[in-house]
Amino acid sequence: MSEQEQINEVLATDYQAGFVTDIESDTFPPGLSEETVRKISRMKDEPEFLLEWRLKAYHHWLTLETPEWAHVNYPEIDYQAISYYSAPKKKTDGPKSLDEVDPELLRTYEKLGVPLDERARLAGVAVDAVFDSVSVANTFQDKLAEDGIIFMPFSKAVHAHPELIKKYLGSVVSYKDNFYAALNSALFSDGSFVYIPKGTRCPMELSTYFRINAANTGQFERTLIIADDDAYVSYLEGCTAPMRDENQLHAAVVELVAHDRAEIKYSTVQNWYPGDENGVGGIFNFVTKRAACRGVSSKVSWTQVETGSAITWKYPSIILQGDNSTGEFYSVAVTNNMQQADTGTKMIHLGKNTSSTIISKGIAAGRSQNSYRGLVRVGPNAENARNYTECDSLLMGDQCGAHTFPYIEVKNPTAQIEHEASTSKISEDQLFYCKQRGLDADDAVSMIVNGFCKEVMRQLPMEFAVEAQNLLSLSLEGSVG
Amino acid sequence: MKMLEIKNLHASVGDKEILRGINLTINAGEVHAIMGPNGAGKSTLSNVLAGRDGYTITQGEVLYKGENLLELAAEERAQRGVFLAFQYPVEIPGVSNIYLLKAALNAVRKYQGLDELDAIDFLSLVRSKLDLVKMDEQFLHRGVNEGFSGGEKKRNEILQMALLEPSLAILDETDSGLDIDALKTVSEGVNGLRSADRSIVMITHYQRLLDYIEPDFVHVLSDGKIVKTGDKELAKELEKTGYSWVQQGQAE
Amino acid sequence: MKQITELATPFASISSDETFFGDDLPWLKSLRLKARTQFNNAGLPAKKEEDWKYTSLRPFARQQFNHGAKTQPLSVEQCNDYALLDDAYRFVIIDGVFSAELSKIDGLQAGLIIRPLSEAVDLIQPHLGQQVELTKPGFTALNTMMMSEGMAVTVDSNVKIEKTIELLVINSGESANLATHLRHVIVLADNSEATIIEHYLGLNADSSFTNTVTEVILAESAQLKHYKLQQESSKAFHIATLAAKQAAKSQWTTNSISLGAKLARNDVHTQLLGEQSHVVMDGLYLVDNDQHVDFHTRIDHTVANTTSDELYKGILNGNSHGVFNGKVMVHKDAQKTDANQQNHNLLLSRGCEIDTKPEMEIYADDVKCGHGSTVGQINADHLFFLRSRGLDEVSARSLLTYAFTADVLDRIDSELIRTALANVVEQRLPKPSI
Repeated sequence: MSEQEQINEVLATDYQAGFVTDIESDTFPPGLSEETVRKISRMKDEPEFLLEWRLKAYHHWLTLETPEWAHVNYPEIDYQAISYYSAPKKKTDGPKSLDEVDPELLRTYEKLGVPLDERARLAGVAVDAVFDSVSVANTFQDKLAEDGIIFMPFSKAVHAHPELIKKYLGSVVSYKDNFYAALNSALFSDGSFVYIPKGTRCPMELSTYFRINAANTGQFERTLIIADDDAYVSYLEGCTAPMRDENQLHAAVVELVAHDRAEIKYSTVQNWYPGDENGVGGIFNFVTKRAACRGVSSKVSWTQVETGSAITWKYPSIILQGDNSTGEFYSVAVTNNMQQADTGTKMIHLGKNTSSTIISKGIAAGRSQNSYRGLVRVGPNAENARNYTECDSLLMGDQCGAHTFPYIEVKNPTAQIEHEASTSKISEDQLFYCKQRGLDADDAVSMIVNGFCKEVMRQLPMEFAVEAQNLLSLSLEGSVG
Repeated sequence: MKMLEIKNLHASVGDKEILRGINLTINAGEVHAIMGPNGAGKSTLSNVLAGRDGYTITQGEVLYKGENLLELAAEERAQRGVFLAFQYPVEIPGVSNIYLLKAALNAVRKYQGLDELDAIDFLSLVRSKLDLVKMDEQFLHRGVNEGFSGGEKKRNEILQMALLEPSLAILDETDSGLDIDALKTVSEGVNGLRSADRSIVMITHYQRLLDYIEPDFVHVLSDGKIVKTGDKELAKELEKTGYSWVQQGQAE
Repeated sequence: MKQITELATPFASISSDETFFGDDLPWLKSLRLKARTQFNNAGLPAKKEEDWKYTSLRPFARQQFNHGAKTQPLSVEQCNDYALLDDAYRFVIIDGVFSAELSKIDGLQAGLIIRPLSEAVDLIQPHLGQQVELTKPGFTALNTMMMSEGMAVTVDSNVKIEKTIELLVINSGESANLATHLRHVIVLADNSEATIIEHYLGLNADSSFTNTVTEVILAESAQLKHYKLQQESSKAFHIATLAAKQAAKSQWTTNSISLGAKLARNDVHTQLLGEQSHVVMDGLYLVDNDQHVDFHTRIDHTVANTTSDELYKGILNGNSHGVFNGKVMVHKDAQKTDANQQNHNLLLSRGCEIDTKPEMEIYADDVKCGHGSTVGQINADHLFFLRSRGLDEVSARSLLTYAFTADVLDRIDSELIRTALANVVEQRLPKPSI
């Protein structure tokens, strides 16, 4: 078998999170109008300010056009054909403890490797489990509350901490920001809310696990994380969806705010269903993620491992407002079969002595298209800004594409910006070397690819790193040889 | 026991025939040196034996422990005990040396029907081998050959050999690019691995290596054929007279 | 005239009954007509277009330019002073008009033809307009509809042209707000070699608009060394398209040095159409005050085994604005492509701005492609070292600024040309002001 045939064989594997949970749901009929927005707000018994904000977003969205600049192609989305809310039927008024959570849901998360019971406690990770449009379980809330840490579903936080929501919601990503952010602002159904008080180091990893289950629905979640002065939090996010022939829309917004000397570490393992080898089905993942390093010496670090979705359109960004603030973006994006990814970051340097690092590793196989798109902007008052960018692409097969679109805009003469990019094929010499030491093609590819991605993988918290490595190997199984 | 039998082996790259009828038998426990001028086909021979893509075998056969070697994939050969110490060991950024060693050892053990070694046993095994090639433990945690000097790369090859304990080791120009101290270290490492059930083939341009690793047989490869076989004295003769007489002999 | 962009065309009138050379030739007339239709429909490119994201044509659109000019006669001595090289073929265009008196194109080497475009229509018919895209909004269409003169060069097979050809385009300033639309066509047949310098010069500080399109056709194994030096006035608008098609084994070296103009926009593009073709695409931009310089480069690797090597460097001073957008496109099946692109920028003062965008689009897998881009200032350690060796700060900065340009200039292999260009660059080096 030739090297290429072996690559192809390694690449052909099944998506392992593709099962459907059989559960009764309350689902809105498809369609989008002002009434849809009102209905979502009503279901959640939201305060007036939030409804108003949603409506402003909705009306603004109506004036926008679908962005077309990304290097992706897909059929036009019919926003009237999507259902904007689906939630498992609940017996009580939201889960108060795990005992009240439908066992079917617990089994679903168990199967996905996200146990919500005692084992989770042992792992020391607090989990918010979002199933379609609602949060179905939220562990460790009470324990965290002892330290004054708020970690709860967004819909609950709206009632428990309206002043915080009012203050921070939309303060990083305005509803006017872009087409999908406007759509999300109008329609978001749930998500996670985190507040770490001054001087507090969050004692455990916080994590949200997003699951799309219902057919024909869009998921619009909203995450808001605030780290007050001198606070620290590490937050993880995972996503999966069943295998379905239709495309499903996922348009999330994530806002992070880091105050003086605060640090937020946000890690994502994105494994939405990517569609089959012919590009049928899969999630359209159109996500706006942005952090504001508002305080002096604050720090935000995004780490993402993107293996899923039919289409990914995602640029976790950092606005470096505070003097001496630091931004980091570490990304691995793997595309296989017919997947398309257009992902990268924006580093906006505004404060003095700010620095940013971008490490992006793209791996394209099959007939996929994998683009890095990034912006490094240095404002006129951003004295001594530093950026280092490294983006490398690895190609596996002659039907795929790897593209690099970096934008560097500098308006301050004290800036030092360095950008490097490379694109090459997976090395046959390396493959042969590993095989000569007895490794089969799959193991050799997986080893070399993991090595290629190591700088990024080592940024992930331990619990996630193992999962991410496995995912990487699985996504590329059958791709080399 | 016959370790390796090469019978009338012809191999080409594209349209060009490089090996033109090699015959060679190597018994267990023997050390053979294959010498020859540049372009004689030395590296082709080692690559063909290890199963690298890009070569077409047009005639002949190769038996390894009586089994048809050429039918096996590169990793299957490795798992059965064929080891190639590369002339130019490749760098694999981000993959730590120790990870590769462990994966390779476990691949071989799996073929042998043995359980994988656990981390502790593995580490103590590797440590015991490090001394053999005078390598510092920190090398284990660096990327495979990443930023290694020429000598370090070659020592790393011998370390892998020591760990994997192959039946047939092919050392391709292992002496090239080594200073005298590194050459001694590498040679001592190889000598320490000589045993009655292991055969070693050294492919080299220069006689120098043979001062340190004494071969039982010396073959001269020229223009894709073995043109002369002798003992270590043959190598010394070559050192004095060079390869030109071999090539002249061919032309006649 | 219908405009779909918000920008008006800055010409009092482009009357549809204006006449141009070649109007008697149906093919040329129809090409001009096609261009006119295109330009009338699409007009000038607006900022919302990705290719014009960082370059606004508003200052340009606010001007009024005239066609038709009085020309200022120059003496041979004056012309010698302006020219970069003495011992070279020389083709002189003053205020858009070819000057036979000042040109030195007699006694050409056998196999070489140099003619004014207006007298070379037969020669260039198969090539004209083949290297450029008319369909994009903007200046290529305008140039095609309005082209009034230019230099046509052809070199026969197996002929190696010994002398450099210097195209000297002078704006005398005699006519205010003069617009010129020049079209140059360079055709090298199999296995031929030539060296050509395009040299643009403004003699006073008035506003003018130079719109040039240079088309380069390299047949198999042809080698062209091409240099461009742009030193027009600080009120000039310079818009240039340089586009090549390269057959197998051809080699094109091009180096554009942009010093002048209020707004200079250069589109440099080559298509590597035959195996083992190779391009070296270099450039240097030095701007000051409120100058704006924009380089858009594109290299299309369309077949296997082609290579490209690109190095652009910029020095920005004052309130100047630099733009670099380099695109390397590796098409499907263009295996074994080796492409390297570098863009490095030195910022010398508060108020300047650089926008750089090195892009790669790769649709083949067995490739080696890389790019690097940096923005920075003079290295403090280097500065300190020189000062510790006794240089004063101003001299040390000048030296280091000059050193920054060195690797671009060093890649010019003719010593004569390198020295000539290096002298011009050295004089133009901004005096660092931090």
